[in-house]
Amino acid sequence: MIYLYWYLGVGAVTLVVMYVAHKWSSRSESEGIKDILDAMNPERKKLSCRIINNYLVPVLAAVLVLFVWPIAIYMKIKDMLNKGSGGGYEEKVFKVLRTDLLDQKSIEQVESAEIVADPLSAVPSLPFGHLNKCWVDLIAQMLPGDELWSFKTTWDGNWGRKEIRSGYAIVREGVPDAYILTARIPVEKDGEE
Amino acid sequence: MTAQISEKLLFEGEKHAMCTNPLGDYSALGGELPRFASNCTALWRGYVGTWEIVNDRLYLIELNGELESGHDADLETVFPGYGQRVFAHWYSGVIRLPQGKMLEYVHMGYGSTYERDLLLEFEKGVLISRRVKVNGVAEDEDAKEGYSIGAMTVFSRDGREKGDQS
Repeated sequence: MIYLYWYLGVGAVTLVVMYVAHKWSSRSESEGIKDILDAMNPERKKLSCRIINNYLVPVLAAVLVLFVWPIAIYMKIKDMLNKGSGGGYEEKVFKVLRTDLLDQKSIEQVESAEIVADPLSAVPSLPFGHLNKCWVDLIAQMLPGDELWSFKTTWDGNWGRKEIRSGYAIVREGVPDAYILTARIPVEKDGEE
Repeated sequence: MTAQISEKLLFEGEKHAMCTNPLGDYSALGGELPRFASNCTALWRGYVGTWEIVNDRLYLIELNGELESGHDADLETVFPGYGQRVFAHWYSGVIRLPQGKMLEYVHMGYGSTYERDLLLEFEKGVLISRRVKVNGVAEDEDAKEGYSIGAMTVFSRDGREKGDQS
């Protein structure tokens, strides 16, 4: 019986420590995060949701910690290790793949196709107009033997938003390398405009 | 996060609130923007652009913002030599103009919904189609007409909050 008291005693201490740690971390939580969560899920403001979130879930969590505190400690350590190694959300970085390539182009072909003109003279008459510097920077990176290709792809980007991305990429030894984007158009989900 | 102040669009003789930021695409495509200062939570991008559609082409005709350096920013700051008008040839996609009464207020981004959205689709800065999306009819006769935001927090120059403003 004494072992059971010891076990529950450690569980109670763990519970107090975790409660204090939670209060400490939530104190520094941005008010903006609450706004985002409220905006993404308006149900959060309902009385039933507030009772579940503010009372039922914490009580159940407390009971769980009290009785299975070794698992709670394990989860907390794992969480801390994840945060320490920069874990959590990792931002995706866009890369052009071989399968995204459309046609091989010469510099002259691209410059002729991408010249921008405007009757009100509100853009420089250069390839890619106001974005001409991006193009100049790209072709400055080309080495002998490099190829220039157009590409188009649907990118499953950050925050779950898909985009159609197109542009031009340098292909070096068969592998797409540096690129410029000429368009990024969000792919609307069903029922969304 | 806070509902954001919209861009402005002059289209067919009317001034519209525009819930799309084409200058964001300019930056995403590699265009260089100066470091704008965010002086309030309702304007994280740090500037307000005024746009115009002339002969189905989208132009940026005015820009008001403040740089982190403390200097004011205008069109000439971002597009030297093009201080009067900039053709937004980089923009392909849909521009949303909310219309009618507010159906639901969402205190984040351009999340609020209105009775209708006028959706203008552009390809390389040229208007290629338009349509109206009907989202519903406001039950409350006193519901607000037109785009608006609820509240914001304004920051002082040294970064401290000045307080909420409605």
